[in-house]
Amino acid sequence: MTEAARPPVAAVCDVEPTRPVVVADLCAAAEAMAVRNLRFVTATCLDMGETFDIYYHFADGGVKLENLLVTIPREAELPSITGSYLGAFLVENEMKELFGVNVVDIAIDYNGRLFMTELDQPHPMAKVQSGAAPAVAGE
Amino acid sequence: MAQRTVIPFGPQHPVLPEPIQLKLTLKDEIVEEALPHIGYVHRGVEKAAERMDYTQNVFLVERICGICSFIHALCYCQGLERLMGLEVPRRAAYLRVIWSELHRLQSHHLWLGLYADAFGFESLFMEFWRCREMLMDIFEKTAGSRVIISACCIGGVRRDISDQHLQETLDTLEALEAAFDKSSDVMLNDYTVKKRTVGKGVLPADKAILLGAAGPVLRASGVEQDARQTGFAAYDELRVEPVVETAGDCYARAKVRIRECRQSLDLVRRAIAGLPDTDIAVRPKGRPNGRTISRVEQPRGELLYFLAANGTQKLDRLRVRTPTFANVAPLVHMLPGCEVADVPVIVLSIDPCISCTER
Repeated sequence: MTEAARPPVAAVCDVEPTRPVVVADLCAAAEAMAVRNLRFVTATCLDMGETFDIYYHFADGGVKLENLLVTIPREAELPSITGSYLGAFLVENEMKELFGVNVVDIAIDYNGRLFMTELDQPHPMAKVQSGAAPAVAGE
Repeated sequence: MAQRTVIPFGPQHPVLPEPIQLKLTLKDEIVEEALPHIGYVHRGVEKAAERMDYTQNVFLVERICGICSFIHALCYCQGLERLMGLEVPRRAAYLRVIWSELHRLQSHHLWLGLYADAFGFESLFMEFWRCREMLMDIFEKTAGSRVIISACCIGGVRRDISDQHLQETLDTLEALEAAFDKSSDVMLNDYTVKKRTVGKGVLPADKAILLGAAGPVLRASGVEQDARQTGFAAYDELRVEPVVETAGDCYARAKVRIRECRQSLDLVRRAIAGLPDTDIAVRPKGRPNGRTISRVEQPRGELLYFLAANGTQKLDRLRVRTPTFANVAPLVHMLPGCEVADVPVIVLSIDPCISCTER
């Protein structure tokens, strides 16, 4: 990609196909990927201040990568895709804990205790700090 | 009446080089459920990468994992080179393959030793680690250090390998191959080893894909995927066919890694034979801007870096997805139904790297 063609500020992935989806369609889009036998690679959360940009990466064979991009307001709920891809539980817990993304209905939910203790700063990766530390998970 | 018990496996356990805890729910001696707990070695590397200069991050990401430090640096540099429009000289691309494959060899040797140790085969453990020392010596000769070799830089590689060291590398690999043949023969054919590994921790292909398995764990379940197929570095010329087994058990995972060792030996030899005579680096100009994904194949599987840059010296975001992070969910699937005595072998079979996982 040339300098002229490149977006002035980080905007889109420059090498892999990325399809924007709205929150309401996320689970259906993930299910469609599962039906096509695509492998869930991971998700990436970017804190854009007012919103979160969340990419979901899926591998189609060893070479091709397909991405879904969901943009949500900070406080909005993000449905878990663990119904289609159970393997997403770890990265969804990570986004919830480190960024403060309000991911709901995760199949295995650590309630903010994947990496951190109750003494840690809430959401250390978030650029805007809000809310208190998550409650201690009852086990 | 069967009794249910919950026992903690780890975070400190003889077979675990690094801390992870699995809460095992047992019905008598059979595992019914396994719940992983991590967080013991989380270092905040991704956050640190936002605060450091993008050139300093090369040294930071190398320290995510001591076993495959070079490949972390390669993945990061490759992403930045894409953002900055840099064309890496072909000699540098070939040198990257040589060091990457040597890292794969030493990582697999390390794992084969630990794996033998997990089922109590001490002498086999020592044999594999003795071979591994030969590889560590190659790193010391060619790059100046044994673990964090810091040979990769943005735009190429930091140092060349002399003809003399290339020849010495070939000689060492010949000696290593002879020793490896004997050790791997034991690993694949010994009665007790097979008894402990065949049919244990089975992961079918459909589950491997749905649970997002990576690397040898994925390929041992019959899924033909290897990030080297994307042709990064010089793999576009040095073609790689994924090593695949179909049984999906612990034995198949060991077999994949043993076959990958032979493949790496072949790749290093081919890369040395075809090493082009060009510069080894280009000087980066400007600053990175945009978002990109960089993928490479680590010894443990596919490594993905997501980079978001904004034209300044510091990155907006660096996301690192390591293969063990992907293989935790498949591990949770493998354990239910196994005997508690097989848990260490099954856990080791994914080649867990917890420092990578937590970053």
